[in-house]
Amino acid sequence: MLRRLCVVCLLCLGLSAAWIEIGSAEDIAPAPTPVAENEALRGHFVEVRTLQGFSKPFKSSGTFVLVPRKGLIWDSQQPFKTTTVITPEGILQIVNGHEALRLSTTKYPGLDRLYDVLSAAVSGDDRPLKTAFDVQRQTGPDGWRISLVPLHSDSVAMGEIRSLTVVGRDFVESVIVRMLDGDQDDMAFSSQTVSHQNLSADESSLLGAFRR
Amino acid sequence: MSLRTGLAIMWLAAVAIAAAYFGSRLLNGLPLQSDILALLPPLERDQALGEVQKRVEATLARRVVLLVSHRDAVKAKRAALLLARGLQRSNLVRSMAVELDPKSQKRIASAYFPFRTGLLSKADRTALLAHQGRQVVDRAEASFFTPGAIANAKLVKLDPFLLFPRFLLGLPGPQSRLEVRDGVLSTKDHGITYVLLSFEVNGDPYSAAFQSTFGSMFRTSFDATKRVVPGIGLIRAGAIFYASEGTTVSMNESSRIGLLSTLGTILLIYFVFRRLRPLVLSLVAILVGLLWAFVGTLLAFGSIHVIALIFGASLIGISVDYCLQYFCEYFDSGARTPRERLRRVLSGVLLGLGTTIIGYVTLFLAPFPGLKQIALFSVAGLLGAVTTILLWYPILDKVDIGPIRPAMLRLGALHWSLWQSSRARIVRIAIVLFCLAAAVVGFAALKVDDDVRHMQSLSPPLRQEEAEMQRLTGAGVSTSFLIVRGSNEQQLLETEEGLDRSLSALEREGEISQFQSLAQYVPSVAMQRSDRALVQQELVRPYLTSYLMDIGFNEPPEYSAPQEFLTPSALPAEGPLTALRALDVGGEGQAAHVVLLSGVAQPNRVAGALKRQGPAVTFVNLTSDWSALFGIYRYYALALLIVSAVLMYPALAWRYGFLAGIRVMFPAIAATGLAPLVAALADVRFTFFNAMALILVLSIGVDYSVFCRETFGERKPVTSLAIALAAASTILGFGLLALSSVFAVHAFGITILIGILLSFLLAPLAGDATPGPRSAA
Repeated sequence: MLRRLCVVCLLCLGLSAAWIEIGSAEDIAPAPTPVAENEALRGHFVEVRTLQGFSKPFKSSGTFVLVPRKGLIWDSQQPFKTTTVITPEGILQIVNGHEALRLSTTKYPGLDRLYDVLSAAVSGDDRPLKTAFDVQRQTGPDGWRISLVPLHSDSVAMGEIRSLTVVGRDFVESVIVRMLDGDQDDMAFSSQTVSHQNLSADESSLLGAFRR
Repeated sequence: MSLRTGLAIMWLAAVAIAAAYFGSRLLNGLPLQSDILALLPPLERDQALGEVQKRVEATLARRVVLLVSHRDAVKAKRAALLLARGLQRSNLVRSMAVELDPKSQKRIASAYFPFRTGLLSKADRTALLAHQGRQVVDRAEASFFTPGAIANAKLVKLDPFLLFPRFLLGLPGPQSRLEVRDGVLSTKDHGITYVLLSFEVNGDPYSAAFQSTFGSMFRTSFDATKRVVPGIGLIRAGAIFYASEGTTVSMNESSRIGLLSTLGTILLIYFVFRRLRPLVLSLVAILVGLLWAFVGTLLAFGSIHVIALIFGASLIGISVDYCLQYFCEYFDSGARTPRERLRRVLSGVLLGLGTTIIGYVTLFLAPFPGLKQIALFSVAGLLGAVTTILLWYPILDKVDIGPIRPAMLRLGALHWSLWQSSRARIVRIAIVLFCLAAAVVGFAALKVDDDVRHMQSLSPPLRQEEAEMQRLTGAGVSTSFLIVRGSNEQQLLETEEGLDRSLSALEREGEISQFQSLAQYVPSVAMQRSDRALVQQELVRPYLTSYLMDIGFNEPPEYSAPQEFLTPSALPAEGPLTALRALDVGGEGQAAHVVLLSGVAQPNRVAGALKRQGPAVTFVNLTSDWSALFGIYRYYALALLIVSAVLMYPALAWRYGFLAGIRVMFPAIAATGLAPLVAALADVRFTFFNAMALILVLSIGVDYSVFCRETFGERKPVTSLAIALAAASTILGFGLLALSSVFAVHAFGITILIGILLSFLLAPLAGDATPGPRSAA
């Protein structure tokens, strides 16, 4: 359960970052705007989750900040004020101002694997992705599309994912996660900009939450 | 056939039977023990607690922790897994924990899952007790809206408020500096990856036989791993390594010291007598003595402690004393036949034997199992040797030997003139002044040391490895723990839950680095029951309906409270929680758990903080406990010393009269008093072992005085020579123990060495100042 959270978060982060960097290296055009070390990618998101057994989908929206090598802050404003921070050192979640979850990668098995994939992806190495997924890429006039299907459905980290689809042009524009049990997660990204980091004090402290 | 011959033949038969018995035991391998703490009595608390503590110690002693290292993280893990598999195949280890694979995690989660309605994380319990149910509901609801949220229909149906994942996450994690990487516990330092392996040995770590089996299996497994993954390093911690090193050292030492002692004694005898007969006959007496020593100990104890073996090696030194008394009569022209020789030394030997045995018997009174062994070993050995002298020598030593080597006698005469000649007055004064000065300076320099860590000379390389492990993992081998006792398991869990608050506070204050209790993994039934009620009252009743409506979930949740409760036996015995089983240390009709504490900086402060817990909880710090015990028994040994002096006196007073009895004891008592003070000048600290050595100094010293007292006129130099030889052989036996690297043995040896030298020096003071015979014994 926890791993699902990690996988999806990771992929949002890892893919956008990885794509940004390896895109140009492998000469796949059009490439997303690269995010340099000292820059940050900011934007809005809308997430719609459709779960089996529930009468209505769960829709949330907010902003996100992606900082290379430091992590991702996923700040959901509607319908709940929830902040999720994913850094190489761990995962932190704050709900309505109360810390709801704090997991250090060094203490929980499984998280470390994800971190390795993440750091590899961020550094432009997509081999870890290829060890876990069958990767299909398509490019068209409207942008590009990448489909990921787990190679080993029994692998615990990927156990419940049927497929991932990532679509983008200059930036990643949407991610669709389909689960084996029919659940589905649609994330759409908009108003994305890459600029100098200019992290606020809050953002810095969130990203540094696991530093000792 | 005379009575004498008949007795000698009976003795031969007895010796033959003993030899046959000993031979059969030898064929099955001599059962050797090497635990130095086994020399000590159980702690003086109530017996039940003592038993529990023994079990905890046994469990801790079986634990082994290894760090397998390599520059390459992948290779380090591979090597660790290979080594683990190699060790596991041997069946000599159990409870191996190496991989934290997702499968074992899943097994743990499945074991807990059926009982989830009564399982709350500490944070959730606190929130609900503070009526903050809303917060928990918000968190559950929010988790549907977070990226890749964990919640789905299946989960909501079984655990609507998502409390179970939080309980699992709240279980204690691994030691502070270790990280879970790639499914193993590891840590990185200077570019080297260390992977942790922990297990228990499947046998008695203090049994020499198990040590050697385990040792060779361990080497084989490690070498095999090294062949597959070259360049790996290994750091070890665990009693078995220390113990097996200790056994090897003791065995080597006892054979080395024994050999030196035997060779030295043989050379000495040959040098003095220049013929083989005394040598051969002495060897016969010594060997028969040793035979009885072994047989007596094996019959009484079943096994032999290596320390007894080392002290036993010195038995040669004492039993030869009696042989020497006999053979020195060769120098006496008045003793032409073996019988005459025997008759002349008989009273001295018997009286000496009596006082020596009194000394050993006081050792036997001490409630130290190991010392009892030493005492029994020695008494049996001495009786065997003396019986051999009495019954066999008159028969075997038939030849009439004329007086030999008067030069030797002149040496003996010198010993007397030192104390009785007017020409030696200056030397006498110098000796007395030296003794007085040594006593004063030594007294000022005397330091007492009871620290158990100094008593066990642990192998320095192993200590280094242990310190390195402590540095790398942040936790060392724990010697502190709490024993929790109660009438049943549930009561124990409840007590531990009560302890949790104090221990957590100590953890925050840095007084301890970590603690591990069963209750952290298995809440008591009472706690589970109250948690269930809490969930009902604070979550289900007020919020469930509206919450489910909010999230649009239409099915009724399967949230009926099961009647069953989680108990420790429900957890998987294998995998990451395997070490938990060792926390249950209850015995028959007695429930007991141990709470392990690591990183205890100041035992006193921890003990103080836990004092309020009442009699059900006992704080144990092995190091300070044993040290305190060594202190108590140091006093005890000194008391035994006085007791043994008091016991010897009546025999001496009976034979020599009140005042002369005191005079005979004086040289020995002076030597006993001076020995630790002179030793202090050489910076030797006074420990329990030195105190025990003094008991022997006293009894051997009294022997010398008695020999001096029993002799008269022309025989004086002969006696002196015999005592000189006896002292030399005792020093060859006991004194050589000073060379031992086993601290206890070293302390014992150095005290004997100094004490015997002084005893010999002062012995003529007990003798008659007049040259004529006082009593023709």
